[in-house]
Amino acid sequence: MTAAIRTQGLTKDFGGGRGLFDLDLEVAEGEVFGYLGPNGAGKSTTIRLLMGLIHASQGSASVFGLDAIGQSVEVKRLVGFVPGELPQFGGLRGRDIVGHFGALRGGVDQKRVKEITERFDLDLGLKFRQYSSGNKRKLGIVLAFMHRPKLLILDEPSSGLDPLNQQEFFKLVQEAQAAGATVFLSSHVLSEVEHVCQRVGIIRRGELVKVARLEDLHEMHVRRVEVEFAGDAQPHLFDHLPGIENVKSNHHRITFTMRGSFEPIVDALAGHHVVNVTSHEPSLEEVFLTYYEDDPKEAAS
Amino acid sequence: MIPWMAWRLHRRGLIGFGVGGFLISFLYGAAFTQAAGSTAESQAAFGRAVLLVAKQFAFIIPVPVHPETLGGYEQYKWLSGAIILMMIWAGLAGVGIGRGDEDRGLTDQWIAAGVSRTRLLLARSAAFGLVLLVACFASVLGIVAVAPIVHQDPNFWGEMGKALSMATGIFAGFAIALLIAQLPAERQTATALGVGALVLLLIVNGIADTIDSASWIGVVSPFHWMERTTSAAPGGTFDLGATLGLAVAGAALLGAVIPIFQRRDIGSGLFTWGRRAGAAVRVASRNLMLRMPFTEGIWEQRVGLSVWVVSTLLLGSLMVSVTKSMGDALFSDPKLAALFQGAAPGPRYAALLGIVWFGIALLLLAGYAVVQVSRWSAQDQEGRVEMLLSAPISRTRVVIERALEFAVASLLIVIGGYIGVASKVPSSGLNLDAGHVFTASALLWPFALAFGGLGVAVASRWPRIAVPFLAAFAVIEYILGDLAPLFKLPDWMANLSIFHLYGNPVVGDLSWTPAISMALVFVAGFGAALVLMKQRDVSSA
Repeated sequence: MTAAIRTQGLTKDFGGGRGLFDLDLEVAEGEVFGYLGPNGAGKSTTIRLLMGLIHASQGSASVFGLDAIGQSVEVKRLVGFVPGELPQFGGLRGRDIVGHFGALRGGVDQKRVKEITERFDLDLGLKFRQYSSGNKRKLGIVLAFMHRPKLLILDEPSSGLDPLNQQEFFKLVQEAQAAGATVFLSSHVLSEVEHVCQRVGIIRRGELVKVARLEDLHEMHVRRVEVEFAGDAQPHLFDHLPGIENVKSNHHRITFTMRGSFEPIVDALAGHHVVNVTSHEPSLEEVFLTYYEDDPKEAAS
Repeated sequence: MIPWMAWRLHRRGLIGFGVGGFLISFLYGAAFTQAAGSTAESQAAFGRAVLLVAKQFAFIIPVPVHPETLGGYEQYKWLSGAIILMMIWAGLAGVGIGRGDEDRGLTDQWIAAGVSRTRLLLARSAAFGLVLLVACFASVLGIVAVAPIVHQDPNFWGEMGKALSMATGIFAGFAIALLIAQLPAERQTATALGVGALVLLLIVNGIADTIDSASWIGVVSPFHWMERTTSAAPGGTFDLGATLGLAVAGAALLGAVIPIFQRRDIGSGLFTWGRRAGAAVRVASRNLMLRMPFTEGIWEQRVGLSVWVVSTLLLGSLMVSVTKSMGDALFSDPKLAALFQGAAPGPRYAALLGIVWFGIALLLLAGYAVVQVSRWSAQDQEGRVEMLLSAPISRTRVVIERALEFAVASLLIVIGGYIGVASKVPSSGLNLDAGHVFTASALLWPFALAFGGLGVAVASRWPRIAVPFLAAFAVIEYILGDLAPLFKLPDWMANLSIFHLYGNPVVGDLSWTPAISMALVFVAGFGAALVLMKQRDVSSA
């Protein structure tokens, strides 16, 4: 089966360590793929490369087997796109914008437009500049979904929507998938993709650090461990132990995350007066953050 | 904070009007002896000729004082025009500070940072005032610098006085636009009203200058009070009262803005009309203009384009109607008639119409090209091109649509001008050849296309610098065309100016060379745009 999206060694180097580097990614047809990463990680750069808006420094990107740059027009016949930030349409009314972009795609399915605008309670009679940021986002969703595309490329699509509209948006994505569409959804918030995605890719500093199914992320052998000492905590015991990260101590208590076997920890604690040891599976959010926390600044963002 | 704001937010205007103003006044000064001769006698004759012609333009440009001197000539030839250009700049800056900052989210950020509204308004206004002052002084310093080279009086303090008068008057215009910008609900309306009010004040001053019984209405116009200072010409006067009055008026207008700015909501005007009532619209527009290639751009600028077409039509008609009286006055003096025929050979009235109307039409079309490029540039930076390319259309099509949009819009303006001129010619007593009038009008189109071609090329690759580039290019081209005969530049060099290339086709036989050359510039610009657009990365960020 042809992959909906395939990139090979895709690189866009902006200099100074910024950009996207050596991205190998495959998104299967009919899949909803979440593309996660902190701000500035390279998500929008990936999307712009897929949309043929910017040129790769190296590597290639294809959509349904079509070259993203060389066959850009053909690619975009198949794609619905929500940009990270909707452009300024100034004094044009919502209906004019939808009419214009519908015409560029060969015609407007008024029934579909009506259906989506009703679901999101969007008035197309207003001028663009009169729209709130949430309504601008809804207009972007109408433009992306109105022609029932085979592939939806969505750059942080639900930011700015209230919880009710977010739920409506997730339903729309699920319906699109049920109708056979592929969805590539970028976000820096796990909860946004958690609702609809089957697989996620995590990108950090322009490099893809992990691709996994959501349930696989849960099952990764990362545990949060808490050790309670009878006396003062002794964090130095865990120095240089393999697989131990994020060691924090507080009076009698030490917490850390660990991967791999418990054996080195048991050895390290031997001979010390330990009152309690607990270990638990981390939440999905915590797993996600471990990929960000290599850089504390990014974790904070 | 103020110098930082002045540089960061007005640096293009500062460079354009400061550096550009200095260079232009220097260049016109360098050409003074070429135009007026180097003897006192020839300069006096030149002054008389300028005075005679200038009286016909008193509606727009005040009658010169001592045009036989360097300072007087520059005051008429450059500073009067500079005042109008700077006033438009001030109007746009006033609206930009009044409302544009809010659209860009800057006002929110400053207020959120703890800056009071009053302090913000005063700081932004002071920053513009500082830039304006520098630009005005730079515009006259070129005269001072060139004076020793052409053996003329530098008239240093007189020039400084003129610059001060200009700065206070234009700042008052800025304050008027800033005040008006507080009122309407939308920024676009504020821009139209703010800049429109300044144009109205220019017209009011023109009426006051040319109709004796209406001279009293000039008091409301800052142009009137600026005109009272003529000290750029040796022997002219510096009107301290008028200059102080302008400064006080500017401060008072600024004071009036403060309570309005404090009262209104950020992002809204003082007056907001009720939102549209009725059922929500849930369907897309069926407007045909939005469906056909390139017509969307025409549709979106329909109001502005209509204004351009109608204004050109009316101005063309007006200029034809004043050409006869202007020519009668000019040609009644055999010496002046000979001087004119030396500069503009061919049938006299036709040649004069070529200068009076077609010369202005060229400037209008170059101005329209800059406006259009600024529209494309804004669309690019606001993400419209990115969004357009997310639809199944190629970059080639984007460039073709821009070129078609510009070609159609400029053709409409040219047709408007032709209708205005052709409808007035039969009753004007000018005895013009209809074929020549048509040819001269038709050639305006390739002239506009040449500018549009360059504009579309630059905007396709470097949208951020496209507007200053094309504006600077237009000014350089105009000055080159203006000065080439005075400096007796070779034809190939003079023809680098599209203005010179256009020539004066309302007289003489039709030559295809200018039309083909200008069309080639368009084709080259368009071809370059296709290549440049394909190569670039499109990003609103």
